[in-house]
Formats: sequence, C-alpha cells, structure tokens
Amino acid sequence: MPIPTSFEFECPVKTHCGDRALENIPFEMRAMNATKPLIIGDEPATQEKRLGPVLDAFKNADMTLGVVEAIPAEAPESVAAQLAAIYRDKDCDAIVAVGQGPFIDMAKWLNLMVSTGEENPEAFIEGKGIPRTLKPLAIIPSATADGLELSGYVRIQDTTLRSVNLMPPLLFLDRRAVGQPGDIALAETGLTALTLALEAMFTADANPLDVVYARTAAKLAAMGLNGLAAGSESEGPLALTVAHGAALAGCTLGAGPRPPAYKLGWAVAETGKISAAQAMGVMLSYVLEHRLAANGMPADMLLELLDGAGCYARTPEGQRGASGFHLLRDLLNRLFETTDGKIRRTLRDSGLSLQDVTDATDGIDAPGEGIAPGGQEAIIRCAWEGRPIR
Amino acid sequence: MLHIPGYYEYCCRVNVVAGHDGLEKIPALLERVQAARPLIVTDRGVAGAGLIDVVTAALGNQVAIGGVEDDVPQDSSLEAVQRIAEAYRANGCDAIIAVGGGSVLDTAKGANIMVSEETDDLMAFSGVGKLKRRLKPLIAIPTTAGTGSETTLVAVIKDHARHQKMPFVSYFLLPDAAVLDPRMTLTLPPAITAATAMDALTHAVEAYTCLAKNPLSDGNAVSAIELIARNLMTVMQQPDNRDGRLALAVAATLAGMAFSNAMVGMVHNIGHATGAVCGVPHGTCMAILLPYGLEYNQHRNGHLTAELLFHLEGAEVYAHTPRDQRAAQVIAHIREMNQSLHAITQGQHARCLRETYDRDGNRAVPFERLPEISAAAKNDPAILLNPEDLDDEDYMMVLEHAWDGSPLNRADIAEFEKKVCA
Repeated sequence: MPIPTSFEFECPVKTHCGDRALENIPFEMRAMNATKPLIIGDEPATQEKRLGPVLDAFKNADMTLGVVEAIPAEAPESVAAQLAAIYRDKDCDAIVAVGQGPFIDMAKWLNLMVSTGEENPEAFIEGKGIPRTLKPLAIIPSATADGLELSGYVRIQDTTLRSVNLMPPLLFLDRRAVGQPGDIALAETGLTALTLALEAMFTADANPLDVVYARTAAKLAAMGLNGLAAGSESEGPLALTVAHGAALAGCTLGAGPRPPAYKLGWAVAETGKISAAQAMGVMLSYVLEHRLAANGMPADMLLELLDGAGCYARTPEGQRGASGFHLLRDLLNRLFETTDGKIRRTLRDSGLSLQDVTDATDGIDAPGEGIAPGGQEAIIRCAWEGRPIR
Repeated sequence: MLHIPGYYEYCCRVNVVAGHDGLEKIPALLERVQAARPLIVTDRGVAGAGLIDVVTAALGNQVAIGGVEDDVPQDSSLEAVQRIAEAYRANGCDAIIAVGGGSVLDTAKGANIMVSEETDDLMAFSGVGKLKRRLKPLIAIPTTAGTGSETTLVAVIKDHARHQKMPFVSYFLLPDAAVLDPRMTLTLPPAITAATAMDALTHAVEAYTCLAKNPLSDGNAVSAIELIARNLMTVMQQPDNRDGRLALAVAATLAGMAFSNAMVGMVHNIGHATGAVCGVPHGTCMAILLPYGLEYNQHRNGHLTAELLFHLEGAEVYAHTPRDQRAAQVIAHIREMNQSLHAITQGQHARCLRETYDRDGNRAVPFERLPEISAAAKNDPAILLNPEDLDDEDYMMVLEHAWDGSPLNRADIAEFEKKVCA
C-alpha cells in the first residue's frame, strides 16, 4: 500500500485488554493524578452486574469512589447535568464509564462539561474550544457497541461534536465487563466493527498508522463473526473478541468523517425495519466494491484480512479481489443461516422495498469519499437484491 | 494470523505528522498546544549538517524561535539538561523542539521535566510513574530513520558526578508530536542509512517474535517490515529518493511503536552489551545479530518468524516456500540484505563483528573480548522477554558465530533444547 505524501495520525487511547484488565484501573487513575473517580454504569451493565468486578478492582486502591448505577438511556443531556452536579459536589477528579452506545456519548459529554465548565454543546461545534487535556476518562465497553465508543465523536442534544481530544484516554476490555449480549446483538456489534475497519482500510488516503488499527479491528471482527457463523458460543472469549474489534474500530474512525456504508446503514435504519448495524453489514461489500473500482484500487488485501496470509498467497493474483468479496458475502450468508434469518443477507430480506431504501437514503447530502455520481443508486439496488455490482 | 495474548497493554499517544511538508506543519502543531516560542535542542552533528537551517526555514516568520541549543553530548548528561533548562527559562520559551536522535530527545525530555515541574532537582522524578501531569509541549524531529525514540516514554540521563544513569519512565514523557520529514534524512551517509534501517527492522522483528507481542504491536511490526523491505534497497541506490526516505522514516516510527509496546529480545540484549564493551554503533550490532537471534530462538518461535516471510518477501515467495522452510528463508533473506548493504556501501556495512572497526581503523571487537560481551549481556534486562534462555555457553556460541559470520550450528541449539527439557 503506497504511503500518502502527507498525513497525520493520533490515537490517545491506551488499551488494556484481557484477563484482569480491570485490576489496572486504579494504577492508571493514579498515573493521571486522579484519586476520586466517579464510576457510572448504564442500565444493562447494572442489570447484568458488570459493575461489580469494576468496583472490586478498587478494593485495595485506597481511593474515594462515587458510584451511580442504572443510568437510563433517556434524556442524556439532563442526566449528564445531574451527574456533573454530583461530580462537582463530591469533588471527583475522573470518570469511569461502564456501558455502551449513547451512554458512552453521555459520559464523554459529562467529561467535557466538568473539564471546561461549559454546559452548551453548541459551544464546541466543529471541535472548537475543546481542550487538549480533559479530566481522565476510562471506558469499559460492552460487546453491544455502536462502534463510536472509542472514537472522537459525541452525540448529544441533536448535536454531534467531533475532535481527537474527545477520544477517551483509557480503554479496559475484560471478559467480566463485556457482558453476554446474545448472538444477534454480538453479530451486530461485529458487523459495525467490520464496516468501520474495512472502510478505513480501503480509502485512497489511508496511511500506514491508521491501517494498523483498521486491519487489527477488521481481523478481530472477522474472527468473531466467523466464530458466530460457525455456531460458537457467543459468550466469553467470542464476546471479548468482538468488543475488542469494535473498540479498535472506534479508534480507527477517530474524529474523521463517518464512512459511506456506515452512514447509509444509519439512514436505512430510520425505516425501523432493520438495525443500522445489519444495514451497514449488508451494504459493506457493495460500497467497497464500488469504491475500489471507482478509485482504481486493488481489493486483494480483503482476502488476507478475512482469511489470512496463507489463503492470500495460494490464491492466484488475479482472483484475490473477487475471492475477498466472495468471503465477505459468504460470511453474511452463513450468519443468516446460523441465526435463522435474523441477520439479513440483503436489504430485501428485511421486508423493505427498493423504494423504501431509496427514500431513506435520499436525504444523505454526500454519501462519502469514493462514491461516484450514480454510485449510491447502484449500491442500494445491488444491496437490496444481493447481486454483486460487477 | 492474529495472536491475542491473555492480557496486553498498548499505548502510543504521539501525534505523528509525516510527509514531504512535515516541517511546515510545525507552526500549526505549536498553535494547537498553545505554544509560540519554542527552544530548539540539537547536537553539533545535526547543526553542522545544516538541518537546523532547514527546520528554521520551514518555520519561516510564523514562529518566534526562543533559541537554539546545539551542544547536546553524545551521551545525554545532567549538566546538559540543566544548561538547556536554564536557556529555556532565560529565553521565556514555552515549548521544546528536539531535532536529532535518542540522546537529543532524552536531554530535551529531561529539560522538559525541569521546566514543567519548576524544579532544579531532576533526580526527584527519576524512576517509573513519578510524573503526574502533562509537561510543556515537546515536538520530536528524528534525523535518522531507525531508533524510533520519538515514540518512547523513556528518558535516560547520565549523572557523570555519581557515575549513574538515571531512567525516567512515564507516559507524560511521550512527545506531543513526532514530525517525520524526508528532508531530515536525505543527507544521511549510506552506511548510516543501512545501519539505522536494520535497527528499525530489528525492532519490528523482535517485537513480533518475542514474548510480549500483542495484536496492535504486531500490526505496527508487519507494516514496518513491509516498508523497509520495499524501500531500503531503493534508497541505498537512490539516496535522494524522497518517497523512499519518507517510507523508511514512517517504518522506523512504526517499529518504535511496536517495540515500545512489545519490547525486544536477545538481539538487543547482546547488541547492548557489544556496544557497551566495544563501542560498536547500535544499528550495526542489530544488523549483524538479527539473523542469529532468529536462528537461536527458532525452536521456540519459528512459526512466528515464518509468518514474517509474507511481509518481507511478498505473497509469491511465501506461497512457493514450503511451510517448514519459511523461517529459515526469513533468516537467509536478512543475511542477503546485509550482504547487499555491504556491497552497496563498499564494505562499510559490516556483516559480522569481525568486520567492525573503530575510528582509528582498529578492529572494534577483538575475538578475545567476546567473554566480556557475554558477561555484560547477562546483566542486560532486554533478555527478559526473549523466548529462550541463554547461559554462558550459549552466549559465547552465538558471539563466536556472529564474530566470523557463520550461521549457528542448529545441532548445538538442539542440544541446548534437550538440556532444558532434561
């Protein structure tokens, strides 16, 4: 892969992953000069008792903890304001957030509020005014992730903020905290991670440092999805593998623009007939196929990412790209089979008409880099039918 | 293949700015960290090569430089750190730009501790995790493509009065930004280009094949290996090839990220000792010793070495090499690289310890000093994460072969394996 003549890379996230990862939280807090963390957990984390091991990790830490459990998903802005009051009242100096998706957005927004004193998100539009150093924030994500947890995105009050400075400095991935989301939710997390990672990998301006995160995230997501498709238990190691991939996929996105398949997936999900993760999972191969052809880029590395160097090397050069796309679509087909059709292979499988999909995606101002004029229609039609673009 | 250990940590918080216009991005980087008056820290070699002029020309009128301190010694010292901290304060600076290699960067980090913590007692911050807050902005501009020191969280400062080397370890010591610009390495002599690139290759290979590897450090390592494999010989033949120089600079940073997070093994262990006892440059030691480290460890991690063939020589060679011969092919290929570099540099790039010479033209590593190197290696901590142990006999066996350039006798290693099993 050629190197761009000019690029920039930044990933402030420190990753702790694996056995007893949670036990490192107090050390990392202390290293950042924090001794009074506010530990917050969303409803699923609380119901599944995933906060217990986090609190246990502090047993001998000699730190004062604030703990707020079962935080609801509704009204995140007012919840954040209430938590900010608790943070200040109890003189906290860091946040440990256990949860997923929009809850993590709320935690990042809370951290921005307590770090700056500003309570209006619009003050930070386009990343302006977000300080380089915020209060310490540790994220403990679950295996039910939307892929943005470790990114520089914060969605709050109909406002989306993005800045590298919003990427959490600490990530802890531990089997005890990722939860047991079940096959469908886990597959959806994996599809989101795979989409973000592969779209980051196959862009014209991908640089070698971004690619390190992207290819690792893609391999983890593919490993998890292949495990699910093969009928492996969705709990334990597989859940951690998928959560791992999703977290690194968020790092890959950073504060960059959301890529085409990811954006189209969210637009199609507005119909209410398919989840965003499944919609982007269906559209991924078609977006990549269109984009690589439009940019004149080879798709060969897709094969190496999905099936390893051995398979890549023994496949003749002229067949590698097609084999990669075949594997990607076959993965979705096998998930369809394993989940009794709950994971869709095509947009048509979800009961949507082609017109429904066209209407849902019509409002997207610009689908993203590498989509040629008319390309979006072709992608949608092929993803609806389940027919390769070429 | 993805190797996921039971537990790992990975961190590299350095903002990497790379490109043919990398230096021109420095004003924006300074603005981002709210700094306007940087102190430039470098050594006489870098300044003498005109590289500070290149940096200041790129900064133009956009940045008011607070001063240039160009007398960092080869071994970073407490005196140099104090002198630079004084210059920083006297000139009202608010950031440091370190232009050079490991010693310059270590000195700059030491001075940064003093000015950020407003202390004259640097020793109070020696050790692991003593720093508790962000320091003043530090921008690193490497002038070789090898050490990867721009990605490390360590500084080592020598206190000559006490004959001590003081280590400082903290994530707050990571530079805020590393600027990789091929103009900084365009004038590197061929032998130094070769040795530093082989240093980077060794960082990547040891990070991938030793015990603390993880999926992200593996990703760094294989990307670095691919870039070096595709660009080193081009740059050796066309030293002013800017794209190739940029690729090598990026490779060195990737390799630095790999070994900062996965550590190294016996190649560094013996290399450190060889450098300390006989003064052989680090990159030269790495180039010579890398095939021996892989050969020695092959019964433990040959499957990992074999995987590197894909990245080092590409898919076709990988596919056509029988599975059980891939590790040996990697080792053979690295020896071929050394051979080619030796030829291109007209013998300046040493293939074995016997071919290394000091500044006076004397043999740098006399055969009779090998026991001293062996003794020094036993006390070097880089061996901790090597896949296989080494005793006195093993060290001497490796050193004797590395001295005359002959491959290790696999039967000897097998004997050792049996000894361990027994």
